[in-house]
Amino acid sequence: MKKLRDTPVLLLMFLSGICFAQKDTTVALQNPAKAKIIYEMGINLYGLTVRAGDYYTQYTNVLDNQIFSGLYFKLFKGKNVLRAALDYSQRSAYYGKQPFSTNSGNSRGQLKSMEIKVGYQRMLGKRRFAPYVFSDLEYNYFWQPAPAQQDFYPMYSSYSYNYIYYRYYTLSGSFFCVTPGFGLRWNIAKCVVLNFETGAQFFYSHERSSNNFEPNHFKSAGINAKPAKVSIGFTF
Amino acid sequence: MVATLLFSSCKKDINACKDYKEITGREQGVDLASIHLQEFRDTLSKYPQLEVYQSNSDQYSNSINCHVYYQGLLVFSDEYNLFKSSTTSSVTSSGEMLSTPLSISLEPTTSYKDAIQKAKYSVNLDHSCISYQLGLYNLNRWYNMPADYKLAWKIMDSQKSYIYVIVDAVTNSIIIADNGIRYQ
Repeated sequence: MKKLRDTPVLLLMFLSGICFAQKDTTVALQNPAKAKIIYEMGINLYGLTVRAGDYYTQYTNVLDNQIFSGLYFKLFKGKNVLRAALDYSQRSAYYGKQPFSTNSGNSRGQLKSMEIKVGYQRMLGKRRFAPYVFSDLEYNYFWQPAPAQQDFYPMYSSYSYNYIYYRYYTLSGSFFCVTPGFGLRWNIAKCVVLNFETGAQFFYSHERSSNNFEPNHFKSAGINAKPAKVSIGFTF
Repeated sequence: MVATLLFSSCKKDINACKDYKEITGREQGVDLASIHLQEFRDTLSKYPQLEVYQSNSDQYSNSINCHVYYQGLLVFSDEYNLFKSSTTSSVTSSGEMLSTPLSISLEPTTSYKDAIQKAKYSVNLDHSCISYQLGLYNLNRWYNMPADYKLAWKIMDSQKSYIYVIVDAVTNSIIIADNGIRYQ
């Protein structure tokens, strides 16, 4: 998986070498009838996902920052764009639990996730700054590379002795998502573009835990906010 | 509206029940007709606040375990037990039996919804159906001190009643919380 992180840098170097001979995509957007198929490929530089909290976060939202998380690919035909992306990220899934004043902290540890997305994008402008709307279908598989230690009070009372236990367990699962949103495409150079996107992720998740004290399988549905995503790409 | 949608997140557990279930009245435990020992029957008829929830009998002994009620409210902290040895025929009792009037109001000043919100921060009820019950709890249960009863909400997992939180129904503070986990 470490190699995957180096891939975007190598790809950038490769694409920057070939893009000098390519055509500016704004031309295609300005003349849909003459539109040729144009490809865009790039790196997801940054993404922010706001996830709803639960017991493990004391019901405060979790901010997932994804930096250099993966690659994307787009195929332009006039205003219509097919898009796909592959992301990999690692995040601290649950943290900050402080239910009692004496609690030393709690964590579900690190989660790794792999995300595959395919979608459709519709360009709304023709100029250097071109807005667009999009909708992605997404499958996200996440897993825990190592069991997390959880410290907890089995029984807590202000009126009796409290004792502490430790346990280890793992968590994995899948997300199925539909993510509509809108974005802004900025042609910063002849064949270099920056994309800014914001959206809402409607998800259905199926999670599995390795311990018997919580349900081994549980399902949930909801909306994650995705207020910011920035990517850089090259057209050819 | 768009901004609200984009910057707020929410999650709904599909397995959990939509509504909270209220538990009221006395729990129908062991059928009194199945209790044949006269000493046990005399005690139960003398103290109607007792409700038998478990009865055991073998060649050596007989015993019953009772919940204790006060004006129709379950006393979460107390129970009363009777034991009779078959060899010595002696009857012994253990536990607490609330039999004197209390000088506290039996009307909660905090709602069960407030208590559930409080409880969810102490015990993981995210994937559970939740039940609630109004009752009493003796704060000095664990100490050799005069009883100090408080009106309390018991918030519990509907399927796993051993996972519960007792919340003071006046101050909305947690009295005791048990996540049901005892060992690795």
